[in-house]
Amino acid sequence: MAGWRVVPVSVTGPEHVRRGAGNQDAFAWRADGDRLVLAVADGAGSAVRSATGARLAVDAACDATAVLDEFGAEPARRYAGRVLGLFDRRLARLGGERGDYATTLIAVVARPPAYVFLAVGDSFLVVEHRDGGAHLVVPPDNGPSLGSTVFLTSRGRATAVRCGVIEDPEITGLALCSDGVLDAVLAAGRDADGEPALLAPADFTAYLRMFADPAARPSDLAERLRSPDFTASSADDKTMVLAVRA
Amino acid sequence: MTSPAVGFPPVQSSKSRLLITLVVDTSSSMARDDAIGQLNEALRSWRESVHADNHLRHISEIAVVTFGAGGVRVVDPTGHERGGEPFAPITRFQPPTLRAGGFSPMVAGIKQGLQVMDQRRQALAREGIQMAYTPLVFLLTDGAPSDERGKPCELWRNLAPELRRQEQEQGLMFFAFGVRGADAKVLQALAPDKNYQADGTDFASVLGAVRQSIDRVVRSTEGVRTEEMTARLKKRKSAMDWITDHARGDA
Repeated sequence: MAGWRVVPVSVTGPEHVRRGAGNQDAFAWRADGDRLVLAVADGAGSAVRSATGARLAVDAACDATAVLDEFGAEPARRYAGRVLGLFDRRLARLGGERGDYATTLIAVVARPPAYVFLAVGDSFLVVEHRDGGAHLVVPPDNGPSLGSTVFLTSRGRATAVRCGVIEDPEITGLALCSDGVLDAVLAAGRDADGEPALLAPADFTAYLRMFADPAARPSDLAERLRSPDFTASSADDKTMVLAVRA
Repeated sequence: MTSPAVGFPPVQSSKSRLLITLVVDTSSSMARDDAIGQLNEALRSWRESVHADNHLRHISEIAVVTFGAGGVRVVDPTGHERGGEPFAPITRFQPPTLRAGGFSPMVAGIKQGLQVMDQRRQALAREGIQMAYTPLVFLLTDGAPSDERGKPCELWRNLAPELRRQEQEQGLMFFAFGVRGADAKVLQALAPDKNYQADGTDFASVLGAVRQSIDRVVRSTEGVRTEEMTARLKKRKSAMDWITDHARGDA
């Protein structure tokens, strides 16, 4: 499919296992001609229908790509509007309060060398450059604590939508992640202005390079996400959708 | 045989913290019935139970402030007599052997606990380290507040609104736990919906309540964001449910 290998892995967090709550993350990916769309959504732990909300969000991300007649800043905004509109319309057909479906979303529509992205909330996107290492290009949107973020169902959603286009012929890999893996895979550092910032550590590329080998098994990544040290880092559900240029 | 984990990078160090501050009564009344001995023993058992939790081990830091013997003291949580920072990773927590003596400057002790917690929070923020959960402050006492000369003290009445303000702004959660002899009206005023009083000098039960309170916070806010948390807190009749559950043994 358009020269990409996609490895989607999602595991239920230990706290959700203990409560019998199930996995409230969702992911989806779809190849459409020369385009590849990838999406990860993280349903809020306390919202009773958040798993459904997360599924609605990733499906909307995949279904809205037709609006992208070209790749650029304005089309990216149109794409974001279409995704949110689809999500809202589909949600309105379901019962319950809107907040019951609280979820974050991160999505990428790839048509190298252009990549349209959309993010609401604390999921994040890392890209790998050929010979340039890994870069956290869409960081998690946190408030003063890790418990602060905005959902697709939030009233303040409009100001929290982040969308745009990345044009870079040297991108060789994409990693869309829910915040359940944040503590385990990102590092604390400083940005160019010397301010504290999250960074993709140099060894993050190992996650992507491993799956450049078609023989590598996604189940190995799932096992890693269930390992004691990952579990210790967060009790939340953990999702990584990796896409590697073949 | 190759481990499936080989090839994956190691887990990064934690970028978020849970700050736990214990404000502990070491006044002379704690010598009665060897309450201080039971507290020391309970702290050691509590340490083991916290260390057994992978997630708490990964994210927690602890500080211990005492009021009583030696006045108000910030104790090195790693068990050393001198030096050290007020907070240490919970993995390095070695409960010091506390001794009883002196009066009960509870209000000054609580204020000291709030100060070291706030300083640590600010220092972590400068490093880009966020709070994983609302910082938790636990008062453990067997008596009533006095001033530094042993006279009954009413300053706690002024402290209570400040605690409510900080809780309201999610700056912290304050719990007031006591054993026999603790002034119930002070516990209730300082933590109206998060107080608990054990029978006798059962500090094991009190530390059990501390552990359960931590677990409730971690579990109830795992994946819960501020917007929703606020809504849930409004819906919840009272956080006293937590303590009531513990007292009933239902939790």
